[in-house]
Amino acid sequence: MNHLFSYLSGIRVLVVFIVLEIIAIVLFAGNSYYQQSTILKNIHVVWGTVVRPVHSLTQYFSLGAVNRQLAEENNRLRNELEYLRGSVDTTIATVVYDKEHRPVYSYIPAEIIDNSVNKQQNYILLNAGSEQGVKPEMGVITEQGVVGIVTDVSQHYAFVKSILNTEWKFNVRLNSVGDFGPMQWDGINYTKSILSDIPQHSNVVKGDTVVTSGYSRIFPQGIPIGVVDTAVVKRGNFYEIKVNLFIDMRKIQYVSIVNSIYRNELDSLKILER
Amino acid sequence: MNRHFFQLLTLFILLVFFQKFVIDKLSLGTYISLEVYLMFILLLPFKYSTIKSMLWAFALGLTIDLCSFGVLGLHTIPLVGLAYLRPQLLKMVSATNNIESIQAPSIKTLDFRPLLTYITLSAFGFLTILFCLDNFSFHNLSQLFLRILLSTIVTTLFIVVIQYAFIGLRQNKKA
Repeated sequence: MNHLFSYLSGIRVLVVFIVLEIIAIVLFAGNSYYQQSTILKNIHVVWGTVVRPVHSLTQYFSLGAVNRQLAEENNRLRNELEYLRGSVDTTIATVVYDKEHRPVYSYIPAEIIDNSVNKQQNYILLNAGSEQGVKPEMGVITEQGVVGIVTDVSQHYAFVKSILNTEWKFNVRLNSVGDFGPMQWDGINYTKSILSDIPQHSNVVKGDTVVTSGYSRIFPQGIPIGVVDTAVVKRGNFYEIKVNLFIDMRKIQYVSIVNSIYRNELDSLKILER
Repeated sequence: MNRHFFQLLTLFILLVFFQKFVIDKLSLGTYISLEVYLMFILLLPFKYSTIKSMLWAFALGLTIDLCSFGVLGLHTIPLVGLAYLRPQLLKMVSATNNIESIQAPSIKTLDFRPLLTYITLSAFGFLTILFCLDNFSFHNLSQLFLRILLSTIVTTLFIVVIQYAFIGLRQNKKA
């Protein structure tokens, strides 16, 4: 009789184990990222309210660095302003404005309230949401380069796929040669990323700047991202280039979300093309 | 709902907060991740019911998954597995059977070497599954192995040091 009891209790443990694991595996694999993110969206709101007080406390410790960063940015903007004053009418028209002199991009400021760098798929939580005009698929940038892309938005928060996410690639260009290719993190070092599909015949030099291509209209073109570190030929005739990122993903705090004003129009054109 | 349950619940919340607001802010690099909350499952009493510990593991895993947003189930799958295999692991390392049910595995109830084996094996198994799920592919194998190895060492060391810091301290006070 005792044997029977112990056997039955053993079975019960196994059954609970299997049930719990099945639930976990279904959560893990059973749904696409999109479906899961709609569940997560509501949790982000709750988590955001938990993280916020802690964040506002720890924020004080980095005020010095933020001040310095802002001063540098001010300086750079002032220089740019001076430069543009001298060359108005000629150069800027193609970059920032369209033919009727309307801006092509506008920026929404936001602050990072949660961020990770030690996983393979890293994500960021921002304190701007649909109320501020943030929409999925918008790019996120800072002074030092690309931060990521918005994947989900709730009323006051946005969920961003980080540049340190092995599942996300975006188009970049080598500044001096003009060749472009996809950039994707390899999950190894948070200060480096990989640019691939650059043809072997192009003249890649160490130290060349890598900038955004602007083709997808997620990011404006020409935002500096990093410099070429090493280039090796892999898989036939393409370079695989290791890029030293300008951005330090552990330290960023303030970001700008890129709103491409003609995005919908361009997207509808692309659909027609097919 | 007894006192023990609330003690566990407090520890649960403390560990999740400690992991999220202290450890995760340390930025130890891509190769090292310190998973402190593992301690919760490892240090449940010897004779704690396996079903209950699996339920705790499920709740803990899901909480960590939600807090570190991203993929649901990532931490839950290996934690429930660990809770299921825990009795076998404990049986393996503790040769004697005269252990009271309320006692938890610690430097008081186990010798140093069995305790270290128990924590190392558990951390290794847990982290192996966790990182394989996180990678979800078999390229970058060397990187995967290095991550598992370094994280196992760091996590084990941390849990052992915590044991000495807290339990050692309490014993000194009593003496």
